[in-house]
Amino acid sequence: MSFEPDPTNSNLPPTHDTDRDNERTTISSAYESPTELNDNVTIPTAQMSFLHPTSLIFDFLAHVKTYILPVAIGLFYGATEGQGFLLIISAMLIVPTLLHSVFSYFTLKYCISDDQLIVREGILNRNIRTVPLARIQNIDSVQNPLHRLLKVAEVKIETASGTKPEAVLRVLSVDKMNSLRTTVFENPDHRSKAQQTNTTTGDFPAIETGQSQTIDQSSPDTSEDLLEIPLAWLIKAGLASNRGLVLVSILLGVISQFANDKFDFAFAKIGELIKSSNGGQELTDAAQSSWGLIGLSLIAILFVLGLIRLLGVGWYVIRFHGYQLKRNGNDLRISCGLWTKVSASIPIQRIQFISIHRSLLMRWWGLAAIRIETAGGDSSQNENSTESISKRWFIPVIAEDHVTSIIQSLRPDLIWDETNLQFQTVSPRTTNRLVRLAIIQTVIISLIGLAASLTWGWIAGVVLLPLLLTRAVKKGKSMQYARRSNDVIYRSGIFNRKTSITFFDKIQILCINQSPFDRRWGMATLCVDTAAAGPAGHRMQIAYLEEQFAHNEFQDLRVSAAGREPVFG
Amino acid sequence: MTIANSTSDAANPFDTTRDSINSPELFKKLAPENIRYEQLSRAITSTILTAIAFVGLLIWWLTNGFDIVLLLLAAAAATFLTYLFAMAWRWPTISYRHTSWKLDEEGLEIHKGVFWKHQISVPLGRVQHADVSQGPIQRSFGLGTLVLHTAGTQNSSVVLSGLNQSTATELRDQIITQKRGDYVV
Repeated sequence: MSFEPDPTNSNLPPTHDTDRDNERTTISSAYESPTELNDNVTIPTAQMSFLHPTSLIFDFLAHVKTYILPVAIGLFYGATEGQGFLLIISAMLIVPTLLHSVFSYFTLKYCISDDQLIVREGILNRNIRTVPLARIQNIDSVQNPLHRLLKVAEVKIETASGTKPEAVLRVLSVDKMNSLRTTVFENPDHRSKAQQTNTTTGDFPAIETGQSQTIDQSSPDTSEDLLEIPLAWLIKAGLASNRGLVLVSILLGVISQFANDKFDFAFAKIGELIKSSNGGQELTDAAQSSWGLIGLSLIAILFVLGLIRLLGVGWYVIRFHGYQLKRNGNDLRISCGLWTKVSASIPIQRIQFISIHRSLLMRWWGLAAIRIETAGGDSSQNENSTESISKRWFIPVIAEDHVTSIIQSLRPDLIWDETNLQFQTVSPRTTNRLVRLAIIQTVIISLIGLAASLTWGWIAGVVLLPLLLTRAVKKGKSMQYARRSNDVIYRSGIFNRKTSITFFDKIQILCINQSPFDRRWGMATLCVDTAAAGPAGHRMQIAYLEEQFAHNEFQDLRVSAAGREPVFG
Repeated sequence: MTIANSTSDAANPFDTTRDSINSPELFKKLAPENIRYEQLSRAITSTILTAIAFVGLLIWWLTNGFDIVLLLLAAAAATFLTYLFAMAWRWPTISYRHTSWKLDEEGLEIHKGVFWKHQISVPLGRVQHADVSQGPIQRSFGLGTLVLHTAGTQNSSVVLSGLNQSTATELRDQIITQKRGDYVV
């Protein structure tokens, strides 16, 4: 029995929660989950196997991670300063986690039988999850250095639906994982079964029947290399990114958390040093010391800026070293990582949205980054490794002359010729409107400034006016929109230029919003909403369009979107 | 594809001529009972707020005695509440004039908003599932709310409230049969 949404009774509320207790079986995500719930599933107990024994350690570590800091501090102070109660509290936190890990290790068993992956877990509330192999879309894996040392990997099994992986197997030995991958993806039934389910449920339509047939005939091992990122690109990307800023602030946060009093002490010491040095130099030249101070602080600032860039480079290299993008049939496979090796797969038909980002520095160096959005998976700002590799950091950096070929390989019917796109700029009156807004902003800021200080308050306004005006003019010109035979393209951004593409068959909702100001100016905002929007960091909300144009586009897009079933071509 | 709606006032769905390009003859209004319903529910909210304000003022009076601050507060509360009641009476009519919808071969399109105007279109086949809900006061007016769930991100559920219950159910069934069983891919 399957729990696919049945059109005839889809107004019924999902009632699985009540079934859950009666049958002692659950399905992971209610309602649209393609997981099948079998009351009478015969569990081949003999075949069921435990996870890798080191799972105990990794499960424990994963759970203990959330409160490791306070516990470590508690243990440290408890041991060094003889505070017994701190030790007890720490133990009270750790022991249940340890017990939980032991229990979950000994109660979780899995196996593959009859084209199904069966995962059984739980003691009291026993949970049996069966995932048909044909429905498995991704088998993603994460390997940190410890994993690699022990030759194991954390494995995530994803299906087309759902907001989280269908099953997380933490951890499997690398051999087991590979054999699981082979069974699932190279099972002769897999492709054809997937095809069958497509035609019956329309669940994940094939790309082009002709093409996927040729793929079926060829051996499943054939994978085409699409991209490898050389180290030089990663270093440049690291230099161009502000990633280090995040790392530095995290570092500072951790340091201040750890050693609050020591921090204060250090500051006091520096203060004393400055005072004493001033006192010493007072005899020679007061001016010289102030110049020296300025010089010192300049050096310090340069040092911090350099550190930020270096950290950025480090982050990029560690995260994406050995990046490889391959195409295997209808799936894209990514693998990368210096310490923590991540491998993820993305079915091409699940790509909803493609976004090319070019920051100022990257443009100077002829580089770009590509982000994508895929249906399924968690759309929240979840920075877990496989998830963000396959979306936010799909292609962290790529040379400009490779962009076209990569983008075109992301969808068979996509023709990408960025230089010859017929872009439609937003309303020509946008610049007027934005300039007027900039002037109003400046006046308000100046008034606030004047209220604060009559003699110097006007400076803020005078400094800001040219900046705001330049921004207004640039912004008006930066927004571009194009509609082609299959897709919608939107480009915006002054410093970080973002160009995004989505497809008629991926459009979920269209809307036009008009504020009272918009109506005054005869303008409107056109929004094109797709599933799982967010990770690409670029929303298709095209503001300042001429009202008439926006309405025409809205109507045309409505027709185009409805005309396309979510199938290519 | 059009849905029988005896109450549709298709002749003049908009008070402005700005949207003339959208072939307004296809657009339908909400059920006229919705005006009364909205007035009633807003009146109830306003009454509750009045009661709260009254209790608050009473406590002030009992603790601080009668003074100029109390008088000012009472005046402010009275003005605000009068405005609320006036709006409870007027707003549903204005809002009603600016709300309309149509279902055609392309899907469902909704126009709403008085100052901030919104046009929302759910293309055919993108509806994951559809609900019709009815509150207790809505039931006494025979009204229902249609909620369409899509896989979208910012507008993942589109709400059309104030339809006749029968219209809402009919609309839901039409949209469901339109959906042709395709999902997000």
